[in-house]
Amino acid sequence: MSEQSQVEQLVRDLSDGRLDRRTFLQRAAAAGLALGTANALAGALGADSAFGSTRAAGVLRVRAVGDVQNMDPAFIPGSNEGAVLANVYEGLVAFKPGTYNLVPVLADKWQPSNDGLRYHFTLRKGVKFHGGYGEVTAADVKFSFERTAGLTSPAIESPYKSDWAALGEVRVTGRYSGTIILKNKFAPLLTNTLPGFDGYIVSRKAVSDLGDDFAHHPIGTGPYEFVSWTPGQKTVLRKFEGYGGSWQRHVKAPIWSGIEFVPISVSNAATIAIQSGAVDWGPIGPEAVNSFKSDSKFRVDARTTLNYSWIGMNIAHPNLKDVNVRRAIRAAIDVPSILAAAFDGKWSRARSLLAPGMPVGYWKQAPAYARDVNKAKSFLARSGVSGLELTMAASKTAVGGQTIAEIVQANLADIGIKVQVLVQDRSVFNQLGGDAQKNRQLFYELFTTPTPEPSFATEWFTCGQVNVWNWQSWCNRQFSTWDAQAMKTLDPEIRSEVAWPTAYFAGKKAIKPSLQPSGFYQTWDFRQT
Amino acid sequence: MLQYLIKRIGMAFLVAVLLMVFLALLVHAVPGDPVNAILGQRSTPELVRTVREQMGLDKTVPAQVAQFVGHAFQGDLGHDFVSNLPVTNLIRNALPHTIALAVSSLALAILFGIPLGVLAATRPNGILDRLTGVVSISLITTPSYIAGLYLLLLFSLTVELFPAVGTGSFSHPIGYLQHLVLPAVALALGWIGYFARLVRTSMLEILNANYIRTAYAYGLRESVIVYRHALKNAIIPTVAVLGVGLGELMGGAVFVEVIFSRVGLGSLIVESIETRNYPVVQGCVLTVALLFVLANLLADLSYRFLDPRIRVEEST
Repeated sequence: MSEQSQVEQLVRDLSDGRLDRRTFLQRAAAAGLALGTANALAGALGADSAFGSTRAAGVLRVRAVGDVQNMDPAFIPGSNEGAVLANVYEGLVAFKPGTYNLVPVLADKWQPSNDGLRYHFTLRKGVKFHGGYGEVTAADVKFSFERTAGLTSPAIESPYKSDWAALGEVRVTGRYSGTIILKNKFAPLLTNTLPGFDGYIVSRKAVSDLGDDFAHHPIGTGPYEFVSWTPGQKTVLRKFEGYGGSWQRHVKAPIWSGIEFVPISVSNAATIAIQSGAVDWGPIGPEAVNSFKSDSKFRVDARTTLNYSWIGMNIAHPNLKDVNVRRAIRAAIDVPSILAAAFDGKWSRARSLLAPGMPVGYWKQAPAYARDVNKAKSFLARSGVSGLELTMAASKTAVGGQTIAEIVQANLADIGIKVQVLVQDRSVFNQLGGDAQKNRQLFYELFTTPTPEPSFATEWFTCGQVNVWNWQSWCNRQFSTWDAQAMKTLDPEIRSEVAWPTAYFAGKKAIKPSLQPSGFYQTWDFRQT
Repeated sequence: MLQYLIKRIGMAFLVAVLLMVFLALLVHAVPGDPVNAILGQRSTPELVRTVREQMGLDKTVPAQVAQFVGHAFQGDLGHDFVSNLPVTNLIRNALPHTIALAVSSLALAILFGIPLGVLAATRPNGILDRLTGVVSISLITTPSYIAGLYLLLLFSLTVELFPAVGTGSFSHPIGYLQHLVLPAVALALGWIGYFARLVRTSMLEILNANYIRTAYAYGLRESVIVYRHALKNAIIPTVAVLGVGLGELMGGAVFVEVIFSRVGLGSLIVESIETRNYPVVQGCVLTVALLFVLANLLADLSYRFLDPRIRVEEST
């Protein structure tokens, strides 16, 4: 029996009551069916994952790391909302799940101009918004994009305004057609803005009718519609019966009658919740991976993200101005031990800013520095610095942050550098500029890069970001110029050539010993019943 | 009595006002910037400026304090910086669950702690007394989050008796109670031990009183002497502690709510402190503090009823 027919048989058995939900989940896994939740989850799990049949297969309960707070695409605070909204909203285009290939979703036709400044689109006809808000039209597209860009009246101040900074206007040419007109070339448009949540199409009428409540009552066109949000408890979606089927050109129809996102912030509690069957699916901490892997009732899928984390040094700080001091620190830090202790060996070592999964710019041959205490001591001796005392800050919320800081403390003690560990609240850790930057010395930081836009990984190291997010205070004009060029270069091959030297520079200058990119482990709850 | 009541309510009001001012000032004394925490990587100096204005953080501290106190008296605790929801809505959603947790924990503590204390006091230095001593001290020294994790492992994972996470809904009372059992037990354990020790000490003192010896001389049954005559007086110090206990339980609920992923003021406070979401922190802490004041007021008033000597002293 083919995989497809096995899945259909399973769904029939479930619908007819011959299988309970757990057995269904278990056998679906055995049949190779992934249970993602539309685009985002499906993307994390592989192509064609979230969809199987139009017949109901119960409610999927997903562990969320935190509760949603604001579900307006122009204001979403983070990934908790992102996972929910990926099921509720659709954009003109998106990445095909499991790939970084751009495919049309709400767009029926999609045609960029040769100069990369105009993008003509024609919408699929008859696609309906949830909640009876009518058909999607080009006017909704115009409103959605211009709203985030701050071009509507009254203008909103979206934190994602910069993603639409190049937008001149969206010109409506018909009920279903229009043109996105840019002021200048902007490569992230196709790698981040349009395929990401910046590109979600909202209903103009819903935004107007719901007012402030729109942030807590999203209205999209996706396969699932919003039902309710009980703060701290769950966010409930149900299958949208009037779904326009935009995704069905690329993946199968949704199988779940509903999805519940249950916020469980503590990693240990989430592990127990998955083991006990309180939730069916969700991310787990690195520490729980082995126990789930060794249990045949569960399936663990690992996905390497594009995120990266690193131990940084503020070279503007008097204690770290001397390059030999920095070299000594780099030579003294034991990165493999950090990976083993802080991430249970589940994260891999990164050698440059761009992760292997980045479509362009990954630097395969970048050097990795092994720990060498004698070399570190010799660098320190060359600097003439003795009795050095440093601080190392890590955010409380960073996975493994405190462990990393403590290992660095121990590593540097071996070469006579005393380190004071500062484990800080995010609001303290993230303070920008001023005294916060002046006092910053060593730190452990993580940047998330949800979309395959290389410049999003490199922009934090440019001269323009000094005193903002470039906590290293490292400014290299050539690096910054390359980075700016990469933003305006549309051809992937040329981008790769531009981005390669950026990666090279970042690695060669070795402003930090790197850890990253973070392997992100997710588990499925398929219990033997 | 009326005069005393007015005096106590007046004091409670004063405490509430001072508390509001203190809270409004405190959040500004704590290092950290809510704007950067909320904006994260998207934070730019221009955006920070705009958001700061929207949040009213560009005003002077005295102006912010005055605004908070003024609005609080009108029942307006401001808006959550992130979700833009009124803080009173968030509190209204979380408070009943925290009260349910605290009250049920207190009930469990009374239900098990008092009999344990009585049992120990009636057989001083015996095996039972020593055993309850060890158990009580062990319970007191076990943090609620450790107890919570063990309870989860045992009763949610191993025997699958209770749900591992969540709060349940008041509209489904059975389900709600099932969700409540483990967190309430985790929170109550320490207080069971504490009440047991408190009642034991109090009972030992009372059992040596003349009127108890007289009762024995009259040939009354031991159970009547212990439970009707001794416990009634020995319980008064415990009642005094109840007010503090309820407040402590409301505060202590933080860890339990986080471990069991329960909705409540505790988990709301923890999340908000992390992001320096001032209005939510202020609103929640104010609510907990006011409940603390209220619980103490009720405890004060209640032992005036339980102990006639206080009423007599006052009237003379």
